[in-house]
Amino acid sequence: MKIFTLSFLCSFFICANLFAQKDQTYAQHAADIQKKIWEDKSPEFDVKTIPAGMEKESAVIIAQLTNIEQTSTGRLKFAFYIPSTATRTHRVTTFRERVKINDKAALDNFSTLEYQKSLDKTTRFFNFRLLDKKDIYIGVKILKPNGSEVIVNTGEEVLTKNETKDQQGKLAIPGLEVGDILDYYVSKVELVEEETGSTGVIKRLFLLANEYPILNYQVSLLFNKKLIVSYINANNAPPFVETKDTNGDRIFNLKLKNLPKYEASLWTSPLRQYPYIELGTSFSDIVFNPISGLREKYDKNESKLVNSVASYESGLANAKFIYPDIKSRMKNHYSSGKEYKNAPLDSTMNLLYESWKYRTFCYYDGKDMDVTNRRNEERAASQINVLQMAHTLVDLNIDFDILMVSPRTNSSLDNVFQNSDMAALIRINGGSKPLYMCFNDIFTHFNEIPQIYQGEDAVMISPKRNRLNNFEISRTKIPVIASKENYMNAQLNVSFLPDNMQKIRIERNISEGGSLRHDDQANLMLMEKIDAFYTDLLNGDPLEKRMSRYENGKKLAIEYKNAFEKAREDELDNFKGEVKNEYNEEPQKFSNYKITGAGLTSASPVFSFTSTFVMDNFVKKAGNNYIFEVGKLMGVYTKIEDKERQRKVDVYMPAARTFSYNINITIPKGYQVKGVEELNQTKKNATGDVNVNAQVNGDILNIKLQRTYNHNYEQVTEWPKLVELMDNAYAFSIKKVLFEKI
Amino acid sequence: MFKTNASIIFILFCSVANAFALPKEKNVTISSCNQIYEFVYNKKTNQVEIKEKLNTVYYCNSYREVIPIQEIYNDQVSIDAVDYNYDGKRLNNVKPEYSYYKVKDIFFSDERVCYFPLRLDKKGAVGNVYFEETVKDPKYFNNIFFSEPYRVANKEVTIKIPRWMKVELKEMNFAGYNIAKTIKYDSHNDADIITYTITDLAAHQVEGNSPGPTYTMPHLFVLSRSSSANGTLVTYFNELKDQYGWYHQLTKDIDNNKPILKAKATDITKNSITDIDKIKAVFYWTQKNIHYLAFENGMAGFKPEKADEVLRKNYGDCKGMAHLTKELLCSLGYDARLCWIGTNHIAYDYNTPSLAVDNHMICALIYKGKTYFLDATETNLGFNEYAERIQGRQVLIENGDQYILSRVPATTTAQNLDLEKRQITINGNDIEGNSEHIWKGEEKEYMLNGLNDTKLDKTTEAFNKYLSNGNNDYVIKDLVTSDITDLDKDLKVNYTLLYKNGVSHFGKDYYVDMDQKKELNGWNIDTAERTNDYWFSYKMNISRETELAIPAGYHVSSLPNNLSVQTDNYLFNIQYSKQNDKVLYKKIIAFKNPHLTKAKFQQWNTDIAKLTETYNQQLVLTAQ
Repeated sequence: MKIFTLSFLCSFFICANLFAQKDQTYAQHAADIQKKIWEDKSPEFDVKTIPAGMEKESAVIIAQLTNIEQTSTGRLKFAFYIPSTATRTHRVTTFRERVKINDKAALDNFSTLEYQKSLDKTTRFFNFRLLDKKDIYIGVKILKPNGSEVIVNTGEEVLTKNETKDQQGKLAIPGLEVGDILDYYVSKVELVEEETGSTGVIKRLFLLANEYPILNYQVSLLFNKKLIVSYINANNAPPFVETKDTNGDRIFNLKLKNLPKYEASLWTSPLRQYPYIELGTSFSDIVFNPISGLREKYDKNESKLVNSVASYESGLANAKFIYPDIKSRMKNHYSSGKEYKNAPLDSTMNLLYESWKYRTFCYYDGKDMDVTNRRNEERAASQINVLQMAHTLVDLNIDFDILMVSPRTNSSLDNVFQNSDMAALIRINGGSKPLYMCFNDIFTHFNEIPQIYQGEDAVMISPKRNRLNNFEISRTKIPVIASKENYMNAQLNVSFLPDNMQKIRIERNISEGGSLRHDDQANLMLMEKIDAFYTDLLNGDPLEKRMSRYENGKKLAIEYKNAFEKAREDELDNFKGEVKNEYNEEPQKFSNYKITGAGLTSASPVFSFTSTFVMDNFVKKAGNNYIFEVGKLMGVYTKIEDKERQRKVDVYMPAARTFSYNINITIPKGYQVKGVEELNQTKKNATGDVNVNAQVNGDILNIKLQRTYNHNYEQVTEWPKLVELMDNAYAFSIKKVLFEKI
Repeated sequence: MFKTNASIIFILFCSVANAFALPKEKNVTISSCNQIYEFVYNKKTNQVEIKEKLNTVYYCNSYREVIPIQEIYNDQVSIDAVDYNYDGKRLNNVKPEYSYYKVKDIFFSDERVCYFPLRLDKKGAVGNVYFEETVKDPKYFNNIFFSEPYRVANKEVTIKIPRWMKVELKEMNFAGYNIAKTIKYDSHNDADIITYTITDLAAHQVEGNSPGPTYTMPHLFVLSRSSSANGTLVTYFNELKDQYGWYHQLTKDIDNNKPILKAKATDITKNSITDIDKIKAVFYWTQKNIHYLAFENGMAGFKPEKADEVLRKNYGDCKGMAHLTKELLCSLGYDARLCWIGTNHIAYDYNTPSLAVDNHMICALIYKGKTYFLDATETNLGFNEYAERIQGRQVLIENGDQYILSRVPATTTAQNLDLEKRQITINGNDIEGNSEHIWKGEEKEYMLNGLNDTKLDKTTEAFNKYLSNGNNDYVIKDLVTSDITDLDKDLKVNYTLLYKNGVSHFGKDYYVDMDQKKELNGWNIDTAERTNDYWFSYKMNISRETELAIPAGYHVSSLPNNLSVQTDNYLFNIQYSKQNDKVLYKKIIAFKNPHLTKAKFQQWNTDIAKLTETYNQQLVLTAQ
């Protein structure tokens, strides 16, 4: 189903003055728009066939047009008979698409339209009125394979909401069949007034790839000359052809042919790898800076990145804040100022950071009582927290830089479009090596760089003379953490069940460091334990005291304790889920599960946990012997598919990383093991290595396995080497040994 | 889908409540719930109405929580008043919202929802919610369910029935619950007051593959027979003929454009010779060309769309598709009829006439004394094959002013055969061979639905993945598929296979796993968690035959054990045998009765353990 939201729509050549014709009904407007669009004779929308070979695509977009026509002008308004000004925007946004429907999946996808038909959010205060009206008009026609054309009666829509100021519609397109060409448009006409001071910023992103192949792609935009327009074309996206009409209004056109369909594949970063255009409009170059809380001028001669960094600098200079509670906590921690001064920098900064985590994640306000592991998805807002921490560091007279980075999952740094595209972190200077403070989840350590920042270019904001009103700006690169630092070590002690050798008992101990620990920490750790850990570490106040700042704080603390207790009910399922996720099989007789190392701080960085359980399907009985699929102990490992072996884009892996397994299988009395030698293998190349070493020591079959990915990023030319490693890992995952009856 | 009835609404409510991630019942309890239903006579409309007063008190057990309150209404049910408070204080900052109620798989309905958040702002908080509603016609007042999404400490349901109103209350699924009943006579109003008191009622759990709520939840099935409020007898559904009469009234005068239908039917059947061929051609054409879109809008929820309109639009709901099937066949001179039917989601049948009895429409064709049922909403099921949901169900067939009450044939497991036959050989550590796979009945429908829902450019890949059971080492080649558009034939594929490393080789022995599919392996039911019976979607009938050629110079040194499990519900049978220079593996997993009751879960788990144990055996071939 194609669902059109207000933010999605774009426009077409329609008279933008529709609202001025007050006597016209919605139906008359709809007829006018329909006439204009259907009479458009663009050759792209007259194509009736698709190229040979494309009939095997689910659908083919023969033509897609996105069109916006916007005029924003100042208007005199009267509030309580006092003149003031507002900006009135007329915007007509049309999206038109001509689609060849080749199968039932596409038919289902395109057979209905759902839309906000009209919405009037005009505000009034006595005689002062600000218009905010939106009407959406749709049109559909179907071209049958025999060449006949049917214009669909859109009056067959149903209204799911039918109020004077809010109508929502749905249309099931009658007569549409596989083999037809569907030609439809959705046109939104808006009339919006905004008070003086509003900037009218609107952002649009045009991704030059689609679910279906596109034969003809066009974006056509017209903005009146008072509008400020800027855009970036990323990843080799072509620029708009820009012209002006006789009024001096700006016209942006982009026409492309044969856009490929987007195919998801392993380890990609789409905004780094697929062409797109991001465009913004506003009717003022004075913009509100949410960081500084001030209205500031946008420098249109500078890039988006430079402006974004400048706005953050402004925020740093204007927002005064320190953490008084953290300062006092640090003061209390050291018996004297001298002791504090003599303390190693990494020690004081570590205390500062852990105190920040405690106050950020372990102070509750009663708004969110969910303290199950879902709470672990919370993320700190990095820019705000860096700003606050920066002021605290200045107060403590610490030398530091602020790094602004665009995460690896987002656009590249040079394609940053606005401030919020970036994250901020702090680099502490003055020690033997830089120390990092990153403001992300509760599990991030002091001096740990989240994997989404690693290896990225960053803009470095360096305060001059330890003040936050004058900075030196430069570029730097954030380090990549080595594969040995991001690790998962598994110790597996395995034995056959004496009464049923088709089942095995696994005692599993997992230790994780670096970025590989975060997911399991988030899944397995409960807020109650995190809270207790930090309260103990920082000699923090009990829950009741922390809650005392609230009315009924004592009662609220009791409620949180109840919520903690309730969350404990999930713990067994969380642990079982972790095992099931690892082996794709339900564990049985689950016991002895616990977290043995919280891994919450850089002082105790390892997250470790243990559990014991029984599994089916690892062992096959064969006569008097047993075949043990030992490779499965590594966990589920999917063989890379043939279609993925050829690759055209670079490889964005989450992190450089190492997986190690030390597996001890007790050989039952009366049995000997065969096939051990065949387990051994070594494969090493520039992207990493896979090593397996297996041997029998007495009644123990020991298998040591290590898989390493050296880097978090590989150029596409290195993909065959990665495939080679993955093939080797897969080869082990299906290995078996025989336990032969002696 | 037929017009939604009250029981369906309850399910939808529950599913939505689940989507809102309701807090577990432990934190919120319904401390008391008072529901009063009163039959009243509305002089203005000259109709009997049911006035409902629904008062629910929510108690916060452990910690503050915001819970979603929602009440469904529609053209026949109005919400007349809403009130709510928190610890006795009015919540002025919370306004109920009234909006369209979006239901999965239904394109449009007249269902609306009134909803608002109820903040239980501290442990021990009490939220009091009150609705007044009116059901405008007793026909639409069908059930009173006792269960709620939260545990209920005390609930009182009172039904006030004036003696001019003839109503039967059928007590459904009361066993095992603390439900007491009293009846009083209110002489002032000449009415019977029936009160049910329910204590300690567990929260209703939504679980997949469960029987419908009318099978499981304690409730009253309300059968409004007749009224004589103003001295005039008004009959609702006193007998089945009354219900049929109402349906017939809605359908008998639909003004179809017969020439258009005749022309289309003639075109569809132009290459068909025999009557059965023509009937099949019409049925298959409707299945393939009319896509299902559910509309449940007021009376349109019961009245089929004009058949020529369904034809023009190329879409329709079950009523429209049944109607089109009927009219196309009638235009060719066949005796086709509309039918009403309740799928197996509903526990009731036409012995208790009510709008809650049925939820679906199909077409019946009477030909040479035999009745065939045609359900075009089953997009890929063949002629004279029946989906589990309607098999054996009572069906109300139109017959002029009368009706015919019949049953859809209860087909056997044989209808749904999923047969794979393989001949394999060993080559090094690989298995090679060829395979023939045939799907019939609902297995075929399942496969074709999957293929048709997959994008054309991904179909082969998806099919290969299915055939290889997701194993990238199990390579499918030379795939030849029967015509997937021919619903009159079984779905059949032939292919060659290469299973890389499919054999283990240790010393002089080959170890061979004869089964790469292992259906139901480890398929245990969590008896601690599951509260409802488990209903499989249909009667599975899996048959696998693998013939392995023993490599020259080898002999069978060990055959795995056989398995034979047979219960009233299912059959698991695995047989290994050696025949000359071949080893034969035969497996049958067949369900006679796909409804597994809770009482049988333990046995099921035991049998699944046996199946898993059998799967985890391998054949041993030893060099001579």
